[in-house]
Amino acid sequence: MSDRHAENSSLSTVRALTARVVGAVETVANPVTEREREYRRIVALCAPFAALVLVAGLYPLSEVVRISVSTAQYRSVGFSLDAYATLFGDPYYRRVAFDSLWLTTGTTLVSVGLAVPIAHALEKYDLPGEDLLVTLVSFPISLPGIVAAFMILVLFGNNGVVTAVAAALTGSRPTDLAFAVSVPGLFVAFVYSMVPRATLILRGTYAEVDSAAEEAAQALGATPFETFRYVTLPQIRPGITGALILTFRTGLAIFGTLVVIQTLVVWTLQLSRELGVGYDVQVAGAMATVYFAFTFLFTVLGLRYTSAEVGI
Amino acid sequence: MAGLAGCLTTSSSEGDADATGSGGGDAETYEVGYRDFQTNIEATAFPDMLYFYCVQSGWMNWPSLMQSFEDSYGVAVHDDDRSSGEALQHMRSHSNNVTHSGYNGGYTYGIVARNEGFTQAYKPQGWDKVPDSLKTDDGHVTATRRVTTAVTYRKDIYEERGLDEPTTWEDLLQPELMQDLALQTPQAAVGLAAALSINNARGGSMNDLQPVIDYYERIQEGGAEFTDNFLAQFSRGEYATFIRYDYSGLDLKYNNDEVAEENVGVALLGGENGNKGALNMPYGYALLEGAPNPAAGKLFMDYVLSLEGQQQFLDAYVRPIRSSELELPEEFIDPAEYDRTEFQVDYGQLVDQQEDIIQEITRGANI
Repeated sequence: MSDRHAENSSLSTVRALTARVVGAVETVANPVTEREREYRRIVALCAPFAALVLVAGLYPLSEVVRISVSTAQYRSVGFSLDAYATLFGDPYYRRVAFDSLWLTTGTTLVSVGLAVPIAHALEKYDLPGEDLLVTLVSFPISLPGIVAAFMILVLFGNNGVVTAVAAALTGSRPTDLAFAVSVPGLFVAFVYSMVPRATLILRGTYAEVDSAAEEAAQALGATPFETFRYVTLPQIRPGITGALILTFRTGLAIFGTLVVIQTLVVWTLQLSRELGVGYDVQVAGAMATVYFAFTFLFTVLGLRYTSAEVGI
Repeated sequence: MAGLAGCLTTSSSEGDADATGSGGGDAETYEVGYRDFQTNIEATAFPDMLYFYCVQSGWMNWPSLMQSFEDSYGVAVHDDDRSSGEALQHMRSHSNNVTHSGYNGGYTYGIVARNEGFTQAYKPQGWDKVPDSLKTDDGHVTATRRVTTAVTYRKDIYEERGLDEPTTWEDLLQPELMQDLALQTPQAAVGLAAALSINNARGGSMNDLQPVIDYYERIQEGGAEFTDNFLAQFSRGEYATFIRYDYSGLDLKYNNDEVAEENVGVALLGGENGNKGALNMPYGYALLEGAPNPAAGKLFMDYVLSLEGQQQFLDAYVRPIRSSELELPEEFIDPAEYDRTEFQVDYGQLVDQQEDIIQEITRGANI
């Protein structure tokens, strides 16, 4: 903008904006009305999270984006889209993306499919030792992926417990049956980490199901399955959608498991390899940026077009 | 062997130079360096603490080397716990304020440091004893020890299956052997060494990687697995064979209680037609440009390459670069086996090409 009038008008816009911000800050600092006091409480409650988003979220993210377009390896200087050209031009990365998506989609469907009956049983029936069951179901959440991978090895490896039993029963060689370090093994390890997350969300959903309607259906002669199909399912559908979204995101983020079971190169594993020999930090930054954009859009669209309630 | 001093005083061991550590007013001098690099250094110039990248406890018996060096000359060496890659990063970020006098670690990382201008020329005494392919002509980077790609296997399991000790890479292609073989991807230095070993044995070169790509496809079909964590699984019998370095295999054989010594075999492999198939991965050192304590750094470098220093690598089953002049312990692999199989590559070329090599192998063999 070179002419004075425009300059003046833009200046006044800035002034007006500044005045508004200052006004808002003053309102929060010295509230007069009850509404303003409420406003202040909201700001106070949200402040820690806002600070966290800024410091631990937006700032590192902007740095990652900055790195991805840098022209130097150890300093962020210049501007180049080479890393993105590599990412979108090299068919290898398309394959990595495809492998990540199908593996995560498959494991998500299986995990949520398993979580529905688990949550159903935990909520609908008085099970003996229910607290213990809940603990057992939820404890893989606290396990690093690398540990989950070792558990798969211990069960299904060449020397695994399940492998040994199966070999004894069928009379075949353990190494022919072992599938821990293979795509099926990886699949099981993923499901193992993802089921608990899906279950936790669905338990919350089940807790809100209107049981009066279910009882009415049963009284009118519906079988338990019909009751589930026509009464319960419509009520838990948003929860299922939410579980699908969250579990899918969890699956995409898994990394530790892949360090042990390197049978499929997915996005996270490839990202760590970019940072290994050669230290191709631009491509790694671009991969991280694309990853974030994808999960963010996926979540936003998922929430927009379904009635799911996922905060996290 | 030195290194048995009881307490830390400023006095030094008998028979050696009588340095009184730092701050002493004596004029103790030592002669260091090879030929053009020969120079006399004064003990008065020694610091209390010498900073040298990656000279650290818990790795290749450095603690005993550090101790015996201090006992001899009164200079303590800082315990510098980091990987070669981290050392390089640190050098880059402190290039205008050099903190360390020398670099010690992976030879190829030393070459990278040299190419980036962080090192200076210095040939220690004994430099002429180092094979030409394991040092740079200009005296910037010199190998001091080497590890070699080797196969470690469970003798007891092999006996059960009626397998003989492997001597060539071809031997590993037996179905009974491939089914529970473990190795690392070329992303790790040890995995890259394995890949280049196999490639060389089967007639390839750094510019022709097809032999190893084909080999990796075959062993994967046969049940071999690429994983980074298999030492524990080896002792449990999860894997009967793994490809790593000679010293990791020997260390497992003699220093690990979980699996009996007689049940572990370590073998060097060649190719079918007499090709070499065991790549040396050298480790070495370099004096750094702008070193804060060049004199003490040179003295330390001379000590590590002296026979007394070299001898101490053997305790960790690491083969010193001057091993031909030393009596190798019983536990070591027969030197004739090394002669049969070991080879070196142009490590400068490896540095330049390794990214492409790794990429070609991993994508080609779908690892």
